[in-house]
Amino acid sequence: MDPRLSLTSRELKKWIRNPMQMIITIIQPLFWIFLFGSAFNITNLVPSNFPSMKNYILDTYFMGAKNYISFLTPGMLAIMSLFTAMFSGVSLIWDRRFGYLTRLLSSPIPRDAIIFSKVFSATVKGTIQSTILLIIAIIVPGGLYVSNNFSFINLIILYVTLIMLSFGFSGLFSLLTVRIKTIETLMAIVNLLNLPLMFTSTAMFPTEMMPDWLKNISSYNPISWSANIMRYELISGITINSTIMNYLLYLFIFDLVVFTLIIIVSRYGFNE
Amino acid sequence: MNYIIDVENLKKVYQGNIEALKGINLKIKKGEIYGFLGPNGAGKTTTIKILTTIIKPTSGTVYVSGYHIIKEQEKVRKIIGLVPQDLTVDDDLTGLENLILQASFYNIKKEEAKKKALELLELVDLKEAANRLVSTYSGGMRKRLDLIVGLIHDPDILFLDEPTLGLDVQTRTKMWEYIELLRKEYEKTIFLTTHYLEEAEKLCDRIGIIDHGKILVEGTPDELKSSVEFDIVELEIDNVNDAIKLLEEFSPEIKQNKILIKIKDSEKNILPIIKILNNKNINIKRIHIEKPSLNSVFLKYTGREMREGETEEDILRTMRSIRRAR
Repeated sequence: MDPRLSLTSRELKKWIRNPMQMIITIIQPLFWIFLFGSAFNITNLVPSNFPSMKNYILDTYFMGAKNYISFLTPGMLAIMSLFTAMFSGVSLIWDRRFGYLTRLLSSPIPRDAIIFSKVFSATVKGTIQSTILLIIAIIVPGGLYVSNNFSFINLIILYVTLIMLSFGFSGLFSLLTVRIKTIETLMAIVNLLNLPLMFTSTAMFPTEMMPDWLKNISSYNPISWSANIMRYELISGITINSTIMNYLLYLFIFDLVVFTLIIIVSRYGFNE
Repeated sequence: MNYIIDVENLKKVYQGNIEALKGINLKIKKGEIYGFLGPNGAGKTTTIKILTTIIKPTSGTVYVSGYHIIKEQEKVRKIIGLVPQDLTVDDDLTGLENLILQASFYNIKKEEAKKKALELLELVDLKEAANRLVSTYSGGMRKRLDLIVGLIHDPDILFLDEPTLGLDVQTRTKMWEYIELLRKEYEKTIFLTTHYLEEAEKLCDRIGIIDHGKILVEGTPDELKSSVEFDIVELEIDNVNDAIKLLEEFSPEIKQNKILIKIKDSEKNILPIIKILNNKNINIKRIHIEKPSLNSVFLKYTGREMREGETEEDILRTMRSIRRAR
């Protein structure tokens, strides 16, 4: 077996054998979806004496979501992928601490296998967790209302988006741990980055409601791209349009840049 | 070039101008067990890291099995096995999974890897524990697994960095047996580092004593011991100061309120000393004679005792790494 795959399966085995990690990772976005999501009733934005405006507002601002939870869930799928990706580098730090990296470095594996195994496994983890989260959000009454037009193609594009997002961010954060050698530093960086990344995206609020400066920033945030694609697929029932195409292209470029960086950094930047 | 490890004037300077190796020469023959003996910080691990391509030397030429250590890195990596100082097996995998994972790094097919893995597990008496998670292993079991993980691809040369550091005496003796077995069964060239004198003496065909980045002396354990001409006689006496004056001709030293005298052929030559002391009615409480040992060799070349090299800190460190892994 290729070392990239065998090392990925090592990560996944470790993950499956410690289900607590997965459960906790899923619980947090569930809090967001069901506590934050129900605390904020977007249908109340419409004055009760103008019922005809309800659909207009929901369509223009919330991409056709029937309630806030429906709007929030795709955003939370993106956020959870981000969180899972952020911790993809932790195991590299442990490998270095425990000396496992020493073993890897003295063996004839391609250096990129060390990083790619973390990236692949984080991508698989993120995708599986997203699936579970999505199922819960759909099952719970008053939760996510999936569009009636939802088809198999929507599902495919949804997963392509999730996978591209996970790959990009886990690649980025794994690259950080090539040089960051302590958990404490990584945690500090993760904490520093997760809120700004979350709040400068459309994960929780529609672009239309943002001030101009934030609108600008959020249009460069991969989380916004992904959240918006997934909203189109899940709640608007649109399969493909020019906006989706653009976002998919941006995500692809993001991944391509990360991929290239991994190849370069692993070749020249690895040391004990 | 008939040496499997051929090192010429190897130097390593770490960041901050720390000279870890100050020009080392090594010629190791195929099938030899060669041991680096020295205290912490002597440069042992640095040497291993260079020989196993983990870090690059600052200068000097190094050939492993005829391959240049930098230009032919990949080839070197294929034929060496490393057992690092820390415990490096993965806790959340079983013993067998650890071995099969390692085998995948060398493109060994799974069935073949499994066969080899079971054979090695049997060799170090871990077959029953093969399918248990490593987190349930004891420290000694982990170390044994660590040892065979480095052997899964049948390397020509095995590097062992402090293979018994922090293990208790019983487990250590057992590890020695396994290492000797490896050599007998598989005829490997083994390069090991240690700061245990008994270990070097018991396992190694040749020993290099290394301190402060330099090899001070090299040879078989017997050669090294015979390079020390004197026995050390240790006398425990109440009245040390008086005795010292009487024994001036033997140029005695005082250490921890004991008198140390270096003489040749101590069994015979100690008699006049006793006679002198008896004549003056000085009571000898205890006599201890130390025949040349690696310890005296070490003392001769480095000016300090090897035994002081092993600190509580080392043992604690290993214990920590075992506990951390749990």
